[in-house]
Amino acid sequence: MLAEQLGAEAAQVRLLILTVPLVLIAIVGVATRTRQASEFFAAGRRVPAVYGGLTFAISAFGGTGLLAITGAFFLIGFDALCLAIGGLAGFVVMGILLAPFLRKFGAYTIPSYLGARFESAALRMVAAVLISVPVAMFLVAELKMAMFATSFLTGASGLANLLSIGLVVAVTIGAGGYRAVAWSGVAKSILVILALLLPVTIIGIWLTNLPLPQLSQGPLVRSFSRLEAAQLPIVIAPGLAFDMPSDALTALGKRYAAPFGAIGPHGFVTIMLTIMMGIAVAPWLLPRIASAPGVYQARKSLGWATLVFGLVMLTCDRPPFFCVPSSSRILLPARSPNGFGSWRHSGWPKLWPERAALMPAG
Amino acid sequence: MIERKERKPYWRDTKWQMMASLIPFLAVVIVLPLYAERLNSNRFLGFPLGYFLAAHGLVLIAVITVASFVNRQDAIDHWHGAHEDH
Repeated sequence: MLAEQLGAEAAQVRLLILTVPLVLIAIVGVATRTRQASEFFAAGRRVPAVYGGLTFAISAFGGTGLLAITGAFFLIGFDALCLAIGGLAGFVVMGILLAPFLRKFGAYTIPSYLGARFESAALRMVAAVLISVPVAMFLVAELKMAMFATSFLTGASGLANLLSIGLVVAVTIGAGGYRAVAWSGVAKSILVILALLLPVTIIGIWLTNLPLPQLSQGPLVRSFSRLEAAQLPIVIAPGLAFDMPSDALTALGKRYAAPFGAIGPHGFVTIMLTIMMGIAVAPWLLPRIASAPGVYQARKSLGWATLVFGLVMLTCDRPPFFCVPSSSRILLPARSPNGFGSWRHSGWPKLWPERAALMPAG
Repeated sequence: MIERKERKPYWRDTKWQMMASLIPFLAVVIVLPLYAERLNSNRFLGFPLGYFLAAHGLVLIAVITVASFVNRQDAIDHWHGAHEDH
């Protein structure tokens, strides 16, 4: 914004938005370079519980969660809660059942824990191979989101962006190992939380004159529900239905606060438990516990992770309501053939995505 | 370091604490969303009650569960001499 006021071009500002954090992360990586095993794999076991929890929550959420869960809330409302509740419960299970014991054992990674616990090198190899599958899948999803965001910012092709991001990641991890990941992760997590909370709070104050959008927007939800009741049918999905919206533009089909329109009740519980187990044993999260100073701190950092994840989840379900205009502008036909561009609010999409993020409705 | 004769009672207390924290939490997490529709006819702070409980309520319950687990497990560790110096 400052650069904009100084008269910089939009393209330059975007490039700045992209390069400044990347360069900062690379600097953190190089500054924390190390060759000691305990520093490389466990950040010297010095990461305090608060920061540990912060990086836990934000890396579980990731770029994927930031874009996809917010989008899912936008389109299927209540049913998207199964993703968020699953993550939340995953941290509770991890904090109670798994993390303290892994930390107590002192292993750096899950394969090294299994290898040492059962004294078997073969098991260690098998575990490493098995674990690389979900990690690769998560990496692909995250890189895709990163490519999406960087191509939006630079306008360049996907591959060039991917290579530049890959370079920064390689420099960071190669030089500093987990020590670099932990500390640059703390910086990134604080940025992510600010980036999520600030716009949501500012728009919340514009719309309702109250801070704390997570709690104060009840009346907004109510007026929203009234508009929906007039225009959208009540949809009840069959028990095991799992109808997640795709990334294509679709028209709104279900009421926000009414449960089980896109995902059936049994599907909801199944997906919730699946995600819970997935987060609880996630191989890109669980080894992070090795960096906690002690077992007590390890438990505590999972408590912080639960709190931060909850806060992020309660902030993520707000943006749908910002597309409700002030009372005079009513939603447009819900099942319009044009999809995204023409429902909920006609003036909005024209501004989107250039300005919409920081403009109140109208 | 934990003494040998303390190991069994320590593990028993730890196991009970684990179950006492996890089982009620999981029960609420699984059952509550299923009743959201019926609760939605009521309001709390303007939110439909079912939605409010499934989002805000579960976050609150999760945080309380972990916080109480951390405190009580720490007390168990101290009681049996299994804590680390911190």
